[in-house]
Amino acid sequence: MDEGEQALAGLIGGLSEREVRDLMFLLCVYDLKHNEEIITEGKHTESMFIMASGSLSVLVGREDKQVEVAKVEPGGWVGDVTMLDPGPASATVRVFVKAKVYEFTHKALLDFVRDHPSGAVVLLENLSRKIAGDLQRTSDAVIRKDQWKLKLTAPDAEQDDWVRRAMGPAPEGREEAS
Amino acid sequence: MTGLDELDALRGREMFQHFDDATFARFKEAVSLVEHADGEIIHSVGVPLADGGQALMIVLSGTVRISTEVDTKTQVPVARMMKAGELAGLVSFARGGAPTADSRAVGDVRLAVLTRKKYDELKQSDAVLAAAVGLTIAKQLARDLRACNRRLANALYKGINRDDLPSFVRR
Repeated sequence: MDEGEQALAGLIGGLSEREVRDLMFLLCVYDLKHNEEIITEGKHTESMFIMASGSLSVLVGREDKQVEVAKVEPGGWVGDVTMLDPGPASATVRVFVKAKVYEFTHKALLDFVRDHPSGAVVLLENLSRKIAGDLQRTSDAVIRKDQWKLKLTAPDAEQDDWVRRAMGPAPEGREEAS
Repeated sequence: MTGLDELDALRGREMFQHFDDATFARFKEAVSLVEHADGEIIHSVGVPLADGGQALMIVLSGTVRISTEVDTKTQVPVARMMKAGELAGLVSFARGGAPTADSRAVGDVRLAVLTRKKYDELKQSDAVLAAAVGLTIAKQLARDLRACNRRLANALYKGINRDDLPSFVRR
């Protein structure tokens, strides 16, 4: 297994050698210097970046008030959400220690789905499993945060309505009941 | 509108736009149509489905209320109302295990259901269709995670205005 395949291990588990080779062919590799910005919060993004070496910082907030929320180390990745569903990035990602990364674009994903449907099923399941885990953890965190802030009695219709409003708008592409 | 008409209408939705006509026709054959009366519980959190597997649900008509209640004393409900074209059951479908939320019919509901067992069969017999379904699932999960991240960021950094709290809230 070469350096690139090692970096992608969490993503390509279950793919055949040929599928891995063809997938690697679809990725772009970059050597990045300290402080280079690869994703900018709020800007349209359609790539994920998989770390082969070095370290990335994930930051949220405006430039003058940025807070680091995570570090990404070799074998990890960022941008999976916008690669699957292109749109504005929810964080800024900057190189912390000079890094080698593989860029996996939305277009490359669609090409891989078209050319290797069996491999794409495995790849998408690996991605979905990881995102579903993140979703469950984030959802639990939202609940805990609200639980900490509020002590609710048993919910009724008024509460349900208020909680829905307090939780903000429905996800894009989803509509709230009127 | 019949269940088949409603199923056809999914074709125009963004989540299904990467299906070509032939693949979508096979998708229609792979799902089963299920109806639930108003108020009926569709799934309960932690309770395995009848066949022990998982199922992807696509709302064709009516509304499904998805909720998680975390504590019998504090009962903080996280509710989402899902309408035609929306997908439910994604987390347990992707990770395995029992449903992670309660779902209940609000009004009469018709669903298209793809069981995990059927999906696993498709992976062997029709990888093109399985990949198209897999892309829909991954894309919807990504969209849901983005929305959930935004909610968490709002809760962490903005908080909730005390004056907006209704009278039933105790602090």
